Amino acid sequence: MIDTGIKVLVVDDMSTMRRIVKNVLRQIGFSDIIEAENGQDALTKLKAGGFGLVVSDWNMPVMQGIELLRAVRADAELKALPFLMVTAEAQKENLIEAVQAGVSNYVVKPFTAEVLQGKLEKIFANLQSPKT
Amino acid sequence: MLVDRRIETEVAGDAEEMPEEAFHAERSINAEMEELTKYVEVITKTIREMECPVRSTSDQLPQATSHLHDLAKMTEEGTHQVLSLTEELEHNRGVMQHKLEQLRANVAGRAVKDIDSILDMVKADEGRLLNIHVALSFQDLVAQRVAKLVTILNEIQHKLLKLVVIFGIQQKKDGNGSKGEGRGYEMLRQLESSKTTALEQDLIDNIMSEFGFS
Repeated sequence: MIDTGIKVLVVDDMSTMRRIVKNVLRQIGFSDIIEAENGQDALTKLKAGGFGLVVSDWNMPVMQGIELLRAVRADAELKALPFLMVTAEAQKENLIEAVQAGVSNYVVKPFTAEVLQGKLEKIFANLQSPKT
Repeated sequence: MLVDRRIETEVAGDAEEMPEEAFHAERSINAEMEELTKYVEVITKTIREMECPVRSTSDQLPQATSHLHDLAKMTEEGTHQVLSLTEELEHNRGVMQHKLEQLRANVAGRAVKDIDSILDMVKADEGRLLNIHVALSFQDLVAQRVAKLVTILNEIQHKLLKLVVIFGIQQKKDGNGSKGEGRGYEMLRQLESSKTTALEQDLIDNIMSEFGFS
């Protein structure tokens, strides 16, 4: 079951995508949603604390989503944070790279609200019964 | 230009001892030089023929890049507009659902059935509106493709500029800008020098009013 009480960080350089993802998250039940324009901006906000989920794009200026993911996994305070990658990068290599970097799940654009919700459900289910 | 002079050549060994061979070697080198000269003439002609298309392409590429930037900007603005409208629709839909649920509690009999069927439709619209939102994510994909096209165009422009510099192709400055004085002409000149190719209606109205259009 998705814990909609947590604070979510939506990271995307496109304002339209941030708005779309926010609306889908609101429909799912999340209300505490913060935005970041790139990986660097996101990392600064994450280090301030309080977040329970990151939904990030891959292709962004300044710091890409994959670099943000690596930075999150390398940070002792943030390494357990669920990280959903929502991206247009649909190549097998990208997926492998993301999995190796420790992504929690991966959604390819264009996506549907059902797909996004399904992936979030899987992430939260894994949190409740982590793999051994 | 053809080589019409004999070239002094050094032939191994004593020239007086092998006059025949030296003569043939010299003729052979002259023939090769003539061939090379013809080749250079052909290349020079080809480069001259390239001047016009290279110049016009290098002039047009910044415009193409500008058009692409405009395209990305316009799709972004359009998407935000549709998002705003669907957000308003979703707000109204939520209010309608709430009011209908209140109304349902205060009625009885056939009216309950009617309200239930309306409620079903109103609830179904929630998903439809959300799907409109998510479908608008195409704009992000368009913007990413446009960004890739701009990168390619910039690379082509860079390569063409190299050609222009290497072959000394001059950029034609025709000076056909907007002539005249006054604020209207100044605005037109600013418009010509601006990078964008798409005009806002406000800017059009301002310029038109400077020229006496109401």
